[in-house]
This record gives sequence, C-alpha cells and structure tokens, in this order.
Amino acid sequence: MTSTRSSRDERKNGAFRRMFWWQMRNNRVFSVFFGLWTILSMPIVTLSVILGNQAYYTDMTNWEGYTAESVAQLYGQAVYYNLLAFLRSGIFLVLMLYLVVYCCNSFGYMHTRRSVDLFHALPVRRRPLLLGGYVAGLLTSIVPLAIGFGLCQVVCRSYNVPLPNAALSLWALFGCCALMTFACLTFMLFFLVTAGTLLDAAVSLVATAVGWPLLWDVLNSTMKEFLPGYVSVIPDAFYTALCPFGAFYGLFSTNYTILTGLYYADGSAITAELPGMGLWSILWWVLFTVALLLVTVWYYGRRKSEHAENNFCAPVLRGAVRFLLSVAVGLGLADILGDMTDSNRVYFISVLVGSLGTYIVIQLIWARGFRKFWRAIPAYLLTLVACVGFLYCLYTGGLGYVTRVPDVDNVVSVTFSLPDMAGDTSKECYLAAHGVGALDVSYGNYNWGYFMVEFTDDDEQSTVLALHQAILEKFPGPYLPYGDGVSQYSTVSIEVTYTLANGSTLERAYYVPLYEDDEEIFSCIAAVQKCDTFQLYDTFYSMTADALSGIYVSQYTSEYDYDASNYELTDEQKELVWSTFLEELDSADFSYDEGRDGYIIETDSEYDEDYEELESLAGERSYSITMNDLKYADLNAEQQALLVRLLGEADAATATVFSYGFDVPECCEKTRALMDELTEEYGDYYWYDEDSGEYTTIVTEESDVDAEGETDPADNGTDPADASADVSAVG
Amino acid sequence: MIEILDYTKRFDNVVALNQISFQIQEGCIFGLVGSNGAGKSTLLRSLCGVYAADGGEIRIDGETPYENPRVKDQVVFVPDFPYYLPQASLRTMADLFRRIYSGWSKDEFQRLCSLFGLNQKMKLHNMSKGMQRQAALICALAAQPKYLLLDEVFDGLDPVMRQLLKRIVSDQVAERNMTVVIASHNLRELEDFCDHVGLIHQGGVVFEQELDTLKLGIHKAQAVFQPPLEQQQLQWLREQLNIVKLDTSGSMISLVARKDEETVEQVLSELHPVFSETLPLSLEEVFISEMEAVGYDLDKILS
Repeated sequence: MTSTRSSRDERKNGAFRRMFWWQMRNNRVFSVFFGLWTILSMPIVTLSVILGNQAYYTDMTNWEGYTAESVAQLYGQAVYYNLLAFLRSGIFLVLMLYLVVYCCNSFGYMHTRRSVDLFHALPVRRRPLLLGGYVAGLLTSIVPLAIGFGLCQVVCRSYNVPLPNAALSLWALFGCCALMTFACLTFMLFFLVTAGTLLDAAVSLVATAVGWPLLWDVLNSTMKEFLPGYVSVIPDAFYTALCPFGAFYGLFSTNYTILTGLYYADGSAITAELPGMGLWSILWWVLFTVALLLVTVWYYGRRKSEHAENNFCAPVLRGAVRFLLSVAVGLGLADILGDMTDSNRVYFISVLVGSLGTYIVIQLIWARGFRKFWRAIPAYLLTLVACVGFLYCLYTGGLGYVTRVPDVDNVVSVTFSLPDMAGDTSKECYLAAHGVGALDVSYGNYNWGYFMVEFTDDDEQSTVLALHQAILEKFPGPYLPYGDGVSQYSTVSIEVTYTLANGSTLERAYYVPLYEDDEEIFSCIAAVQKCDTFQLYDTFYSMTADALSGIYVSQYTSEYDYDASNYELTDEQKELVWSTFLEELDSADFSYDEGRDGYIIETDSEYDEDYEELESLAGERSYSITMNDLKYADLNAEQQALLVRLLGEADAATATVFSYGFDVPECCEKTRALMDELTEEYGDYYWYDEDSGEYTTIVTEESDVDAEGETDPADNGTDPADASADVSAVG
Repeated sequence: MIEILDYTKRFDNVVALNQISFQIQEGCIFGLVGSNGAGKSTLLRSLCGVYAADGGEIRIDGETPYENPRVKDQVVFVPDFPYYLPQASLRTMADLFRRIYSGWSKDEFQRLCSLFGLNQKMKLHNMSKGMQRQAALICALAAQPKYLLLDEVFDGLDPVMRQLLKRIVSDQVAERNMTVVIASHNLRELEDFCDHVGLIHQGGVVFEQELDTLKLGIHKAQAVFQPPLEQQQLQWLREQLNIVKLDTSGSMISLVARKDEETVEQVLSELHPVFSETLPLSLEEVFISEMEAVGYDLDKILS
C-alpha cells in the first residue's frame, strides 16, 4: 500500500490554521446566514430610512425659521438614529444569537465525554484547538459588520446625507461594535471553558451578566435607603463592567439607561449629539477582553478532559457567581419587601431569606440535586458575613459618609439647589419656590441647561455649610432604612456639591422631613436665600411686572379632573397684580400653609362619586401669576453676565429663561380678589356633566351662587368653551 | 513501542489506574481485558493523550502523548461510543481527519468505504450503531496511524464485519507494522485476533503476556481419586501445580493450574488417579480463572 503520509514536521506549526479553516467550514451555514443578513439588511434599511425622510427634510416649507444647515443636521440625525434603532434590534440581537450558536457548535464539545474523546485525541494542542475556532468566530462576526457599515456609508454618501460627525460616525460605531463583539465572544468562551456542562456555562454566564449590574444597582439602592444625603458613589461604568452585552447594547441607545453605563463613562455622551464610547470605556474593554482571553486560553491548557460532564469543575468561579447572585438577590429582595412593609425587621429577615434561598437554588442547579449539599452550606457564611458587614457599615454611618461636612477653608465653591421647595409649607420655603433656586434656561438650537447656584464667597459658603449642619442634626444615627415614621421621598429635597481645595468633590442630596417648628432649618434656608448669589440666579427677585403674562386659574371638577385657564392681562393689570402680590408677600401675616392648591380632595370618602354634592369638591380655585419667557435682552445686567459666564456668549445670546408661575396662597386675599375680579371679565367657571349633558356653575366659598342651581352658560353672556378657546394652558 | 511506567490516573477520589507498568511492542495486537470499571478505557484515553497522568508516565516511541501533536499524529483512538459532529456525514468526518492527521490517505479511505459499503454522504446520526462504528473505523484506518487504539470495537458489528475488520487490521499490521491495542469483553474475538493480552482489574495489571504462552501455561484438569484425596495431598497439589482454582466433589477434583499440560499430567499421575484429563483453557476461561484468583468470583458476587 502506498502511504501518502507527508512530513509531520512540516505540519506541526499549522495546527491553528487547520483548526481555523475547519471551524470556518464547520460553521459555514450559520456564518453565511449571518453574513448575508448583515451585509444586505444594513444598506437596505439605510436606503429605506433615507428615502423615508428625504422628502420631509428637503422641503423647507416644513422648517420655517430653521436654517438650511440646521435642517440638514436634523436630517442626518434622523437617518442616524433610525439606523441605530435598526442596529439595536436587527443586528445586535442577530449577532448575539449568532455568537451563541457559533460557540455552542464550535466549543460545545468540551461538555460531553464522547466529543472530548474525539477532539482531545486529535494531534492538535489545546490552545490552537481553541484559538482556531475563536478567531474564526471573530472574523465571521466582524467582517460582515465591516462590509455592512461600509455599504451604509456608501449609501449615505450617495444621497448626501450629512451624518453627525460626517464620515467618522459610522466607522467609529463600527470600531466600537468590533470591540464589543470581541468582548462578548471572549466572555462566552470563558464560561464555556470554565464549566463542565453547557447548562453550567449558561447559568454562570447569565448569572454574571444579569447579577453584576443587579448587584451594583442593589448596593446603590441599599446605600440610598440607609445613608441620609447619599449620592451614588458608584460610577455608571461599574454596572456594565462585567456585562459586555449590556455595554454593547448601549452603543445603539440614544437614551441613558442603566445598561449603558460605560457608554457614557466619560460623561460627554449624555448631551452629545453623537453616541460613542469614551476613551476609558474603550481602554477598559480592550484590557478586559485581552485579559479574559489570556485567562481562558491558559485555563483551557490546564483543563482536564474529565471535566466534561462534571458539575464541580472550576469551583472558585462557581463560588464567585453564587456569591454575587446571592448577595444581589438578598439585598434586592430586602429592598422590595422593606419598601412594601416599611419594616426594618422584614428588611433584615429578607436579606437572610433572599441570599440563603438563592444560594441553595444555585447550589441545587450546580449539583443537579442535593449532592455535596451540606458541604456547600458553610460557604454561605461568607455571603452572610459580607451582607452583615456591609449593612453594619451602613448602620454606623457608612464609615463617616453621613457626618462628613467639609471645613469652609477647604471649600473652593459650593453648588446648591432647593428644587422641590414649591411643595412645602413655610414662608421661607415659599420664597425659594419661586426661583426654585436655579436658573432654568433654554439656549441654542437643541439644548437646555439647569444650573445649580454656585457660591464662591466664603461667607455665602458658610451659610450653606450651616444649613448642611442643621440638616445633619435631623439625622443623628444610627441609620436604618425603614421604620423611622418618615418617608424620605415625601419631603423636601436639598442638593449640595462642594468643590474642595484638593480638586475633589463632595456631593450630598437630602430628603429632609420639614415641619413648621423646624426653625433652625428654616432660618438657615432663609439665610441662603438672602445671599446675593442665590438671588442673582433667581429671576423672582429681579423681574418686573412687564414680565408677567397673565393669570392662571384652576380648580377640580371631579376627583380626577380639573379645569384650567390662562387669562391675559393688560400692562396696567399686570402692574396692579404684581404690586399687590409683592405687598402681601412681604407682610408679616403671609402664610403658605393652606389654600395654595385650592381644590384638594384628600380622601375618597370625602368625594361623592355621584357628583351630587358638587360643592364639596369645589372648595376654592387655585391661582398662579404666570410669567412670560424672558429673553436674554429682558434680563437685568447682572443676570445677563451670569448667563454669559454659564453658557458662553453665543448661547447666552439665544437664551430664554423658562416661564413658570407664582402660586398665590389663600392668605393673599387682596391679590386673589383682584384676580377674581379680572378673570370674571371672561366669565365664570362651569362644570360639564356628561351624564346630563348640562353645565353646572362651580361654586366657590366666596360666591353666593346656589350650588344646586343650573345655569345656562348663555345667560352669562359667555360660553365656557369660548372663554377657554382663546387662552392657552400653562405647560 | 508503548511503555507504561507506574502510571496512575485518578478521578477525584477514585483511583482508576494505580501504578501500572507494562510494555506493548511494535507491530503487535494487544488485547486489553478486564472487569467492568477496571480501567481499560481510561488506559486507552491516556494512551491517546486525552487524559493527563496523575502519576508515572506513558511513553510512545519515547515521548509522552499528552499535548504532544507529534505523538498523537501517530495514534488514533476509536472509543466505545464514537462521537460525530452534529449533522455530520462520513465525508464531513473524513474532512476533519484529512485536515488534522498527516498520514491521511484518500485512496485508503475510498477503498475502506467500498469494503464496508458505506454511503459517504449519509448522515451518521441516521446510521445504525454498527454502521457508525464502521464509519469510525474507516476514518481511523484511513489516517494510517502507527498506533490504533480500539475500545469495544466488536460491539454492534455483525460476524461478517468482525471478520472483515480483523482482516483489514491484520493486513495493516503486517504491511505497516502497526500496533493495535484493543479493549474488549468479547474474549472469543480477541482469542484468534490478538497476539498479546493484558488483564486489568481494579486499576492494576493482573498479568500481561503473549497469548500463546499464556494459553500454554495454564490448563484445567479433572481427576478421580479412590479413595478421595486428603488435605495433605491437596496441599501438595497446590504447591506443585501453582493452582489458580481447585474444586473437590467427593472423589473428583477439578483444578486450573499455571503449568504446561505435561507437568499437570505428571503431577496428577503421581497421586494415582482412577481417571484424569488435562485440557487447555480458552481465553474466557483463563479470564474467569484469573479473576477468581484475585477475588472477582461469580459465587462471591451472587452470595
């Protein structure tokens, strides 16, 4: 017999190449399907999107007031975002499916003894055996993507679509896609190599990909529950640092989500027009993937063939996955049940039950039953110790997190806001409510800014620090998440951020339960409000009557509905209303305790569902004085200078201060009477009963009109529908 | 040549092979027999480099096979349950072997396909167990290995295919000096196929010998003594004949002795039997006798 044996030495270095081509052939059906889908669908969808948007964006009659450049920019963005949406659903999901199928087909042999007999008996070292398939999978994933992106680029250029950042955008996106494909494939391979069965690999992979973001979210939530003033110290990047699928998906997202942490890791993309990965994100994923690949290849070289079908190989990794998921579920379950019951006892029991239950379930999955069950239980103590240690740390104030207030000498600047003060019950808070402690501005074409007040003067900073200390006295500790009788989320929000001399920042956000007798806090808030800088940011302190736009009146007509109308005023009426209001505002009798919201139905029991006692609903109207949008030119010189500093000259010139309303409480009797008088010129309020098809006059306490009396709208000379037709609701 | 030197293989706490040592010469057909779970398949997997040693070593032509492509290129293993890729045909598997084994012969592959009468394009998973085994053998033989490792290869093959397989393998041994290690419980098939045989039990080697020598060196005998032999005489017999198994039933004794036929007859005649007969053992009888000698006794299992 003639032997065709060639020189063995000739081939000894060709193992990788042989395995590569063999895996290419072995997976050709899936690869061809994925390749064709990607290469054909991407340009076709791009073309469809272009043709679908072209007519709308090229017809300038649709874009009155816009420049041709800005419309072209919007056109490019529309095409780009539509393409992102397709990539998110049509490419990302198919790619993930392809990678899963490819990995199972190429590396699934490790998990059955029969296939291991075949592959590990082949005259190929473990590493080329693994890497041949790995590189084949990588190329069959990335090459179609490159071609698809290239064809998209060609289509866009053919139709002169001005994509954001011109030609770079698609190629940058492709680069990120290639990197994340690299990461996802390596991530899958790692779990396949380190598991004895396909089920174990799948459970470990899913547990890590889901458990990791969940763990950080739960830790964040737990710290928020325990620590007064807590502002997340967990960088968004942590959420997806071990979840490449989430980070990959985030590439195609135009909105911030928890899964897109790394995508926004440099913070720039939140307001940027063009999504993209930050430098640190790219660096992380390169390092992560290379390191994981090295570990995977190293481990596979040492992996025993008998690990196939063995549920107990790589015990350290399995333990880590079990620990991660146990802690995440334990704390997460406690968070949910604690919220539901507002009980610390339930919270701590839930931590124990949740973590132990998860631990046992995972152990049962690993062992396919109760084998080695009791031997695994002591390791749960590590999970429990970690949970207890973490919670005890929070109970005692998070290693000084709660009590830390910087010394004024170390503070370079303080930014401060009282954004939720409008809902509270004191004169001082009311004052703050008008300006909401910030400058709310629109500028440029697309962006808007919300500026916290920045204090740089030492004396002003001291007032903020004094307020901070006063707040801390309301949280003496020890700290528990629930059962203190006060829900942190139903109270006033105060945010403060210190920039310290060493360049670091210290940020706190408090939900302070305020009561009428909290004199110390009220006086501290008032002191902050009296600061020149605070008032500079607050339009309320500097506006004049000509900035008023009208009167906004609303009242409930049923439990769930209310009528609201905005009444225009003449210049004289504006002056009169504003001066009357300021006069009452400055009086010693001013109170914001009651009457601001008018018709509040507190409980269902007070509400008659049959509408028979309509007057019980119609307590009072609520009144607001509404303000015009203030242009840059309408502002005083100091506020103009502030806007220039915050926005830059170009954006400040186009800036508009958002309109808002000044609520007029019940104690402002003169202002309310005046407003009643002015609004009566437009007619009275009516409630339309859909059942009877009739109008009923809404009765106020001051009114003498019979509540039961039915009134024909025509008798008042004004149809309610007409009255509201020429006014617009305040947004 | 295959050298096994104090080789140990463990699976967790179970010692599958415990410091076994023997050699397999080139060009021989080595039959590996043993009880279930004795470690035969583990040894074959170790020989082809699937398992790494936990102690001792295996050398094939002076080199260890584990993670050694040069050695493994000359060794092909056909397991008891051959694995085929999903949706694979014989041609698909041949493509894998063609790419991987340097000794692959397309002509030999075609010839073997003709001999076994297998359709190369047919999905292997649609084939019968016997046909699947034939397919594995075709791929293995077409790779023209220097060492062919076969695990329970006769299972599922009909008698004609068994003979065909034996003939093909024998031819390759003769032509290429191929070495064959075959593990099987089918001792009758091994008996006229192997030239060497090794018996493994509970991870250790009971014996390893040339088959002819083995069969010539062990015999069974029956004899009738009147009066029946006394204990002293039975003890004398044991010492003289290196008895593996001895049963007495009244005046009749049955024994298996590790001696040649002439010696057995001579020793028995010294006790003046009324009747005596000495016969050679089949391999199966040798297996049973030797296994009983190491405590693997059917009566003990049933008791």
